[in-house]
Amino acid sequence: MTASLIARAAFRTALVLTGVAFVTLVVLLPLATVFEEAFRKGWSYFAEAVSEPDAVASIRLTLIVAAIAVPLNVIFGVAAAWAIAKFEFRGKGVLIALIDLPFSVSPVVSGLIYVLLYGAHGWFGPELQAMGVKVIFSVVGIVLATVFVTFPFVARELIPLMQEQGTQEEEAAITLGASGWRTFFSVTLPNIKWGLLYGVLLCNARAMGEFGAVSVVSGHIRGQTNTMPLHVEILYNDYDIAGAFAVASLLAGLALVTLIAKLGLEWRYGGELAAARKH
Amino acid sequence: MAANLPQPANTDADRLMTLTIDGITRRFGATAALNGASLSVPEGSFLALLGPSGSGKTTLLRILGGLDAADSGAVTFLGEDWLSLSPQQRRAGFVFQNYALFRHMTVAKNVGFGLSVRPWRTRPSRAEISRRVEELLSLVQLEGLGGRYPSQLSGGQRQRVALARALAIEPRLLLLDEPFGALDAKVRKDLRRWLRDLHERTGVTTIFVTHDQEEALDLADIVAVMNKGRIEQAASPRALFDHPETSFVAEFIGGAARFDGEVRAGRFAGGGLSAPAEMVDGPAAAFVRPHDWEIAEVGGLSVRVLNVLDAGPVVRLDCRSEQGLLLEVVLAHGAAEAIQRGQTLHVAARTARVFPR
Repeated sequence: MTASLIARAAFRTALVLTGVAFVTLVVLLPLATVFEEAFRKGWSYFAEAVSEPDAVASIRLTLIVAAIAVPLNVIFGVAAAWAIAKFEFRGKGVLIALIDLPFSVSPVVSGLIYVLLYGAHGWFGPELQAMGVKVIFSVVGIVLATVFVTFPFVARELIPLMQEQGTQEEEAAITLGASGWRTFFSVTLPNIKWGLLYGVLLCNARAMGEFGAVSVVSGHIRGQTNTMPLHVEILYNDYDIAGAFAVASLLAGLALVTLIAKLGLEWRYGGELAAARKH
Repeated sequence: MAANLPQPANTDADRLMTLTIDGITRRFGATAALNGASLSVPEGSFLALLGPSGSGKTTLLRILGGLDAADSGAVTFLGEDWLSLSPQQRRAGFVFQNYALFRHMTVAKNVGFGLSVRPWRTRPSRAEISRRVEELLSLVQLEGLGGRYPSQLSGGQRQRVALARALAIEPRLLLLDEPFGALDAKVRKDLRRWLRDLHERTGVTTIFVTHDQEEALDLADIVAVMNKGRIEQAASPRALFDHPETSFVAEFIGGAARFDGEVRAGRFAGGGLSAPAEMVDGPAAAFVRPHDWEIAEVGGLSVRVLNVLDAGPVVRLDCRSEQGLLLEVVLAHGAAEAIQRGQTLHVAARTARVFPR
């Protein structure tokens, strides 16, 4: 072994150690703290904190919001990806940029846009109020804000995958007599299912965890318009640290489940997903 | 094969029995992929669309299959206004260059796809579909591979799956895009012969796209030579070879050397070549095929031999004329003894085809 090889090995070790230390400090330690704090006062306190009515209401609301926002974004995302990947049309670049918009805009701004549009003093607020529809400080607003923030996940995952696959299989199906719908369900959908599942996972994780945009439109009405992240903040502000961390640990648990499912997908369908990650 | 030359459809009966392509144009932005392509061939023909890349042959095939729309022009086939039919109504089997097999389906599902997507009233029963699939797999010599996935097959096997899938819908027209392009030479030869047999058995009007003229001349009844979005000439291989109608066909078929010059008083002169020409005076191009050269007794074109390929019954010489034109000269073995690389040779054209420029 020459001196330069030893130096390189040492450098490599140092690099790896730095990386591990950084990840431990920034990711693992906080995550561990969440669970440690959650169970600091014991199992019974944890169970009480997550089963108390306001907590249950926030969990229920979070699930409802995700149950509406995720399917909507699956439909929007597949439609947008289909249009962008398989057709040529004017304004395609604009559409791609629009899909990325929620990623580049601060979530707080996203929330404020909805207040500006649908709030009591917003552009459409008075008309909506006259019709008896309440968007801001209600579930409707929370769903809208969540849909906006999580819109890119499915589309971004599918566009490169669908572009890579091209249109020949669909064309083959058409010449064999399949209708457009039949072609979509028999040929297109099976080819993108793993990428789609991956996108749904990410979309779902974000839908349940979104704070900024939802915080602006929700109004923080306990038991009514509080999602889990908002409930965590309220408990924390009330100095119920253990309670806050108990609910937070549920969210962290969701993140871990997502992560494991994601790793599982990558391990099983690495090749297909690699096409998506290249871009 | 002169009987296979396309004839204009005169009577209604003829028209019913003819595939007529009339003035098809298709533009992509500023470029015209097809620029008034016209062609008429009898039903049951085995037609090759031959041309260099960018000549519009694949675009024409896609329009016939309903995968692309013509900007103008008409196609009549089996007595129907073909272009007004949806792809589903056309029942045109299409074999893609890269096969486009459904990667998530087994071979059997791929082949049976066209049957299983039929509307329920005309859809065969599941047992009937699997019987038909077995039949087709044995037709393409892939018995027992129905359970495999496309990724587990070789190129030649995939090609045959693609064919079986297209044949499953009992196509009225079979369209193949560069069907042998991605295969090695041996497999290509076998599949060619097999496709020829298949056409003889089924009699389905078959059109394939190729840029390989040997393949086109070897396989098709009628070869349509395409250039710049038009069909230059459609004829039997023999007629195409012996009677090229345009300068493009004369140059493209048979690897002819091109001489630019002029015709004066019934004689072409240019590039060092002199040959009789039955046309009016004016700028012209003459084409001489490699086999149409002979050693000149007197005069002739003076060429320098760059390379000698002496194998088999003929000797192939790569030559350069004094004017700098590269040409291939093929001589009978006996006529070319003792020709050396670097030597200067005088050759004369037995046949030169002259076209106005």
